[in-house]
Amino acid sequence: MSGFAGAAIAAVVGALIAGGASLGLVSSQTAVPAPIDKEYVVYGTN
Amino acid sequence: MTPRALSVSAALGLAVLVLGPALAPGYVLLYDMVFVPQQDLLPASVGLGGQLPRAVPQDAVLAVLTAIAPGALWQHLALVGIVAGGALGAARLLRGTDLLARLAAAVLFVWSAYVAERLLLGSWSLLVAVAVLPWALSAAVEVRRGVPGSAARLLLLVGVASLTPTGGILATVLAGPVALAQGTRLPRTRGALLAAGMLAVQLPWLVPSLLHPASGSSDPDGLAAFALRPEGPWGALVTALGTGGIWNAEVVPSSRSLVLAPLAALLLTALVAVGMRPLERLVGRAAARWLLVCAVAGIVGAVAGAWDLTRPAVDAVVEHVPGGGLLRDGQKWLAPWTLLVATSAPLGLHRLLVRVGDATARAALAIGLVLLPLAVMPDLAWGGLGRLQSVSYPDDWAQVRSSLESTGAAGGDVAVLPWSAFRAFDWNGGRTSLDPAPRYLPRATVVDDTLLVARPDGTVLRVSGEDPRSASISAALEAGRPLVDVLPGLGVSYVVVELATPGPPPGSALDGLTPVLRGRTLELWAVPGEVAPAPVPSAWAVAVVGLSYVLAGLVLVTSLLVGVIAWRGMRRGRGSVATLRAVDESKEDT
Repeated sequence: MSGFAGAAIAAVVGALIAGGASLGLVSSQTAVPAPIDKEYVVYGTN
Repeated sequence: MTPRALSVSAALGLAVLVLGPALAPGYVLLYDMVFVPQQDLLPASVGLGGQLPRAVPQDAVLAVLTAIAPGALWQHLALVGIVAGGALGAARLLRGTDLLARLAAAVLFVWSAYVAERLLLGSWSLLVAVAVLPWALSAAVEVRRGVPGSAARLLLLVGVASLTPTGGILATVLAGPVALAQGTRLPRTRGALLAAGMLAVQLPWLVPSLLHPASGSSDPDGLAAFALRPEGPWGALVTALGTGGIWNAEVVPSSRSLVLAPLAALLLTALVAVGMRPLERLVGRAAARWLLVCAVAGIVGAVAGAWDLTRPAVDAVVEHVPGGGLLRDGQKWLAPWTLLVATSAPLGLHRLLVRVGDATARAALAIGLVLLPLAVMPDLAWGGLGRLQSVSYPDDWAQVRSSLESTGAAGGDVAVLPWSAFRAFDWNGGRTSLDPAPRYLPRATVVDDTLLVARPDGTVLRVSGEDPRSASISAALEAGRPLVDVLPGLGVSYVVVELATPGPPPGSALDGLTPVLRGRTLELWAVPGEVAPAPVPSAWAVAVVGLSYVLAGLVLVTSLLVGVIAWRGMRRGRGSVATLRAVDESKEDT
């Protein structure tokens, strides 16, 4: 039973993440602070 | 479909493939590329503001154009013109060769690291000039061969390229000597007029540069910040041969660090060497060799700023020679090399293919060269995979502009916060862009003109600006003083605060100011009480700069009229077609 529940939860979470990623709501960058939090904007990096 | 319609369709198709989402309605705001719905003609537009005139006469031209149609239209035309116009120009230089060679020239030119990196840095006016280069070289070759109307066409093209100082220099230096050097069929008097005309269209940027108090002095730190940047362990020279190496790592397509990039650079360089002889036959020895000289000079100039051994010499030029600051962004001088690669490499391949017996293998290799740039740098497609994207300005911007317009002649200039030159608005997807306020607002603005460039070791290099009013506000903010203490003396009546972008909170800086408008993305604050008159350029400076525009305008209008008359003459067949054919077939040693 617990194995089945684990699989079901994993499937639901996986579907949510996939759906979120397709809509741009979730990405590998989600945890990065928004640029607004930075002190300044640099022209670039050399 | 006629061959011409086919060429134009292919070039436009290439433009769609490169620009993609940038062609949607709205404005592309990316690094140096900032267009606004309507740009006013302000002192800074003609180079008489506090900062060195780097965007002249580009801003003055846009002020006139946006009085006719919104900036979005001109931006889209410029972007499409860069890609489609550049492709058609490169193909035109190889007129008389087979379709695949011309197609390869078109693709190699616009699907180059040079165009990709400059496009993603938003150097649109430089790229307009680069797209003009093959057309200008073609016109110069025709001047040399005595084709009627070609001198007028060359002047017009150099005029378009001169939207920006670097563009004007590139076009003049590349095309001028080809048209005028020994062996030209242009009579000496007309040659002198052509040379004077090419100089006259440079005046709108040259005159304000000489008048500016900070002319001749550039922050030497700029060289370290803006020197060519090797894109891999293969170093600066191979990077330059691949036409890449822009200073800003953030705008470089990821594919540039793959090993395919240097391999393709070396292959194309070898093909350039093989293709020089056929290029000389096609455009004349003088044009081909001068293009080679300019290309080599550009490579030397670009890598000299990147090599430790030669950097001190370039440093000294940047710091002490008037106008030496133009050298600090070395990679931009690779434009002639980019054109040489695009035109000579296809001819080199076709010269080698003569020895291949199998027709299928010949065709496959020729098609391979057309597709090589796409295979080496696929991530330029679709606006650099979404980096170029149109957005709309939030309504707050129009409201603040309207509010400032309604104050009429009363009041002074506008200071803009956050106190930094660049923005990363959330409504622009967090893309870095120059602050649009100086172009969007109907009044002269005072902004932070210090450029911040991050170094790989995590430090941030500050490249100083030149505007003394900007320096005064910087000092006040650093000291934590309210702006109301300093702005009245500087002739500043308003403060615009841009929200939804990184920057320190205004804190006490706004203490004592009166809110006028407070939107989600933009706020307008008024400075209460008496404000000193804003500095205005002296009457003689305005007169001299105005005269430079009049002279350049006269040259361009005259060229247009002469060009149209010559073109109509050719259409009527008054011997010009016969003349053209005779010139083309003369095999003169040009």
